[in-house]
Amino acid sequence: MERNQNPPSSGPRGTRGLAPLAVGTYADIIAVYGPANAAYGDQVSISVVVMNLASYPIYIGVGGHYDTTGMNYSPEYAAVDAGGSYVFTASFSMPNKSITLDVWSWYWTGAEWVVDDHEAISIPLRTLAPEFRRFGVTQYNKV
Amino acid sequence: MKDLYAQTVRGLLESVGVEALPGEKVQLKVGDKLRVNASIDYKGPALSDTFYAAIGVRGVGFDEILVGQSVVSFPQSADFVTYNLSADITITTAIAAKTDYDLYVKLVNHETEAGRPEVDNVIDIVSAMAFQNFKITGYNKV
Repeated sequence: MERNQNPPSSGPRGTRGLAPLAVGTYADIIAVYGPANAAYGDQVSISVVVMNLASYPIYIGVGGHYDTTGMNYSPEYAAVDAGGSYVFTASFSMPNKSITLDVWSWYWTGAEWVVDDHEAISIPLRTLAPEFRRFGVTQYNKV
Repeated sequence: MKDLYAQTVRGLLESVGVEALPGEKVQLKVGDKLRVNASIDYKGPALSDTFYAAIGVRGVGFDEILVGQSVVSFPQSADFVTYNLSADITITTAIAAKTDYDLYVKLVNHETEAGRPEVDNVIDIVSAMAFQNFKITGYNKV
């Protein structure tokens, strides 16, 4: 299994059980939204849209990281109707370099979380141009 | 002894530094040092430059006579941060005794972006101070 953020820390109760199947079978990541670029220190917001491909409601969660920094999405998991989609969100402060963000979807089998789909986006670092303002002489004195 | 006392007083008076705000006059003589302070807001990538201060005469351009410089460094910042800059200009015989000299400052490698603040008619260069007729005129019980 690829290195990834841990699945949701706990599982929901009373969920119909699902057998682990091929990647992207139930919790399909249909979109990952982020900025085209970000400056160092900018607050970056990420939205991940996941669709339930099963014919019945299932619990879906999302996890991931950028470089080696884990990300926690909100909510931790959600009940998604058959054919429905859900948006999971996360944010972080842009580091001083371009990054690649990886996100995984998970579905609950009733007994465990199973990793399903994966997507990655790149967020390049926007270099700031030097800006100056309020340059002025404040004092001059004999020393 | 009387001459020695006068010499000591003269030395004390000449050593007093006068802090001047922009627009106010300061008097200097050869051998003195003028400290020029400025402030600036900066944001952007990490940057090093030279803070440059000059005394001279504003005409069509600025005729520089004496200068002082210091190295400045701005760390990377996404938001504006205020920095205090300072450079000393030593008064030498290169400048004539005269009133109303002008003063300007700049960042050598970012003059266009940061500008060239200037204060005019604020420096008087004077000859060495001279005193005369300093004497006790009376003493009495009050």
